[in-house]
Amino acid sequence: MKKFIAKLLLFILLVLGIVGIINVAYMQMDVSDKDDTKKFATIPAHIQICNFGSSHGIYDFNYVDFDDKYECFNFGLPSQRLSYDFRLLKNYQNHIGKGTIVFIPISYFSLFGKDEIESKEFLAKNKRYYRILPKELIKEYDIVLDVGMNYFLSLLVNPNDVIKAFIGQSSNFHEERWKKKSMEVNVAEDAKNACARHLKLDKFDENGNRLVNQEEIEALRGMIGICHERGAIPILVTVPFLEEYLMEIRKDATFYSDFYSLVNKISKETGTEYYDYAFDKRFTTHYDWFINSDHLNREGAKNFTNILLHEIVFKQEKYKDEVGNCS
Amino acid sequence: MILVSSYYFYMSWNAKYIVLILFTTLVSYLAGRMLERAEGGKKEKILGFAAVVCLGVLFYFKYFNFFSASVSEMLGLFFVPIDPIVVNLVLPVGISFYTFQTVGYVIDVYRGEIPAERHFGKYAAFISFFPQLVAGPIERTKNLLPQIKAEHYFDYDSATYGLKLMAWGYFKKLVIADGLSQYVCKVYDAPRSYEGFALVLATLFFTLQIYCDFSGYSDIAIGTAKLFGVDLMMNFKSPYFSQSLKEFWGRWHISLSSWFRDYVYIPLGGNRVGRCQHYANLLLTFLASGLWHGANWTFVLWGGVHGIGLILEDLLLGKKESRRIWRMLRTICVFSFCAFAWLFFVSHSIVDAWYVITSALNGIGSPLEYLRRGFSSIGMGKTKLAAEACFWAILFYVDYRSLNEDVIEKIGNWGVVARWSLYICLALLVLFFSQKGVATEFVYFQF
Repeated sequence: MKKFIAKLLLFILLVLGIVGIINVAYMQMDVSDKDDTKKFATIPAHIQICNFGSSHGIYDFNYVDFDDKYECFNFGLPSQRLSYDFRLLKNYQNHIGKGTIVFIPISYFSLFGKDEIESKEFLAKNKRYYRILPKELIKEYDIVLDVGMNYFLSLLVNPNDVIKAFIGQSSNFHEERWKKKSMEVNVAEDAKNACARHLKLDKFDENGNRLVNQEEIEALRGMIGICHERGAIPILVTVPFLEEYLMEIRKDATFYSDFYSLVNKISKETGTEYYDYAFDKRFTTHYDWFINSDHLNREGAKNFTNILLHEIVFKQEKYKDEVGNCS
Repeated sequence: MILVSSYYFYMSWNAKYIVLILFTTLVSYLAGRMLERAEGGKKEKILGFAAVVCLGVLFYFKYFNFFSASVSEMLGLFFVPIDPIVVNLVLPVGISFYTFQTVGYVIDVYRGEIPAERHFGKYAAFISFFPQLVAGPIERTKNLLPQIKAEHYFDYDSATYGLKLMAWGYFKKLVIADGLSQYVCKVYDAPRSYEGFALVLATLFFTLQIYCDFSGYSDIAIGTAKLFGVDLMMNFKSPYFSQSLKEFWGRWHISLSSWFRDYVYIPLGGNRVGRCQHYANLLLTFLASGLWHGANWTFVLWGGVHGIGLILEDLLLGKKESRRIWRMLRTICVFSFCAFAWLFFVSHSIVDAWYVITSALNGIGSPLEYLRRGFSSIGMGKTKLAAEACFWAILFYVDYRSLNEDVIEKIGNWGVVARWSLYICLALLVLFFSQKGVATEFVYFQF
């Protein structure tokens, strides 16, 4: 029995050792960064302009024209909701200070419906936060997953990605996607799918009224609160979409009135400015600037960020003086 | 200790269903005791009662809704519309397996092949022995009960053999079966969204998936039992290298096929009757075997297809071929036939199965395009295909070598460096290539 246990332990140690070595090599060789968390390793100490958000945050903000003048950072992660925007801001609040412009994208799926933990995709997307947040800020925390994500990541990802990393075929997933143009996809079909995906969590009471997600609303208020405490300037913004997407959303007869009345109410209550670019004619038919019906590509994001900063920030004296003086 | 851990294991799935195992165990235990004392016609009554009660529980939980819906549909054909009676029940895991084990025990006692067990605890441990409780092998009393009753001492060789077998089982299940299940589910959950080679691929993938899933489970179960010093019966022996369907059924799910042979086919008269009766016995046995797998006509049809295949084989094919090329051709034919039959097993309905059969060759006029579209429509890229093909090659190589030797034992005779390198490689393959984010439940748990 002793011999058996000793040999078994030796075997386990050997396997774990090799897994550890492979994992270190994988972490260095993999450039795909599918969950887009590597950027948090190089987060600027004093951010001057930043944004949060879901894929609408990742893809629609491109600070390339401002990177040499300002410290910019994109906190957006795919399918991220306000409750995790809030958690990220809470954790990284020391990186923002007086005068920091904080864009908070408000998407059509941000404020209503079920909690995200009820969706079947939740566990898959929740894994990424183990690499960038402390355990007290992670929903449904699981210590095994924590160890796995931080020390044995190569065991938790798709084996094809590990192979690709080792044969040098991995490429940055978001960068690759960002280059695309909406003409490569069937925009009408994509709008239909995106709309179904975005509104699928919506819930209604017995009178047919859309139910507000209190967790998300509180998270938004919390973000605005942190920004105010630190002297930062929160700005709510809805990003541009193609008209096919807007038309699909319109099929839900009450959605726009429900959404805009709620956003305007929060904006008024918290004294936070809200800008809606969803229907901006400069974008709604500009297919060259989109990856698909609801995400801007690199070029589109560059133009949108320029417009946003020039129209909202640099044009207004109250902001212009603040940005660049943040501490 | 085995009994407590086995019951704990089962209750961790659904605590209340332990009552069912206890009930079936108690009925078969008492029937065994009474059979030993009974004489003449009374023995048959006891056997009949025990079989009806044990199989009745199985019928109620597994087949009642199917039976009710089928009767309703049949009456509907005769313009007698009635709503089927539906009972909302969760199918208890492993019910088909442990029920057959209890029924086998009662029949063995009735035949006088074994004495009735006096110790209820040991008998209950035999029925619920946890490694094989939920998906077999369906053990014979003669093999397992004496081992349960015996004193156990740690045996180094048995334990290490068990671990190696478990590792091989995990490789088959987590790497191969789960790797293929995503494609199979994608296609067979919505077969009408696919046509041509995609349907053929999904069927071939299921042929490998079901084998690796179930034989993987059996290896893990047998290996686990070995850690406790218990030898369970072999359940698979390289079935896809069979040269006839008869041989296939001697190598596939051996514990079930031999159960049907001993307790259904032979009592019906087996092959010691006229040819027509023999074929009827064969067909009936396979229809019952199909129904055992699940409460759906697709399973019955799957059993029927195999039954007809065996009849045709008996009618048309001669003795085993000695020439290598013919042996290879026969193996390929048996594999293809089994793959064809699996499509009934995996389809959600007979209509779906028919769609797959009639649409599988769509577009074959342009062979290269037919193949390319097949892979692209199920979303299998070159890297994935290459990796999977390597795993299939390992599987078939090991299975081929297993025809004539015990591969695990043979590897055990290698030098320590080679041996340990192989074990480490296998462990790494399982760790890195086990599928993430796909359903990992064993297919046979549903039976």
